[in-house]
Amino acid sequence: MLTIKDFIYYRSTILIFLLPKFLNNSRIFPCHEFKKNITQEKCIMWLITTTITAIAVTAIWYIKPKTYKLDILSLMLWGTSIMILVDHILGFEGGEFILLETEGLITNGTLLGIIMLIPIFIIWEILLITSKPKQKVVGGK
Amino acid sequence: MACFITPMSFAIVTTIFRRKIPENLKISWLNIMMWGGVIALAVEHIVHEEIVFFPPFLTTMQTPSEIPVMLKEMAIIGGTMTIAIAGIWLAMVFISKKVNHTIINPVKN
Repeated sequence: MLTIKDFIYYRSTILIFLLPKFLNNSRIFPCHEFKKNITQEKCIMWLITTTITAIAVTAIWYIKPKTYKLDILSLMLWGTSIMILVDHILGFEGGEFILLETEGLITNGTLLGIIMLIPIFIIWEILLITSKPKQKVVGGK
Repeated sequence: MACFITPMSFAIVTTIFRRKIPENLKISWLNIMMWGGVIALAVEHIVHEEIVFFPPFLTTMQTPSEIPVMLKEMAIIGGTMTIAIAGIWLAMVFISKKVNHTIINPVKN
């Protein structure tokens, strides 16, 4: 039977992936409008993506059992969010704060945000698998 | 350019000496936050072609005139990142101690 906790857990997981896409197309951070004037996407979407993921994982950590080691994942994500925020505050050179030019191999800020999260999730999964939480969850010795 | 190198150096030191630091300071929280941020920023720098997989590994190192700029950025931005993470870690340790103290020793009316 689907409990309220499970419902919140699944909703949060969906939000992690859908919210950056919504923000990108919304009036709050309309990246597509700036594309008209510049060649590369200017929104610092990887900061928004990381912070949303950190908030969602922290909420899930509070609800779900501690065997999933979500405390480690949320700490890593909060560390990333803080570092990116400091980088953008100190690297700010006037103009609108939310706009920063993105250069390099990937010009899509949302995609870059997701790619930045991949190694963090891999490390968390390795830690999770090596600690064998499945046995604890299922009820093994 | 290479701002993540400063927190990475700090994280290496705190990880090596983690056993010598008192357990109640929860140094693992600091290490996890530092390494998480460093790994993600390293990916960002690779994507922005500021890090390459061949010597000298940092693209700014190829231009000698840009080296002082890089060092300044490492000191200012990297130093602030490290201080920010360390400050949040200290706040977390302080709050957790306060909360535990309240739970163990409830206020008598």
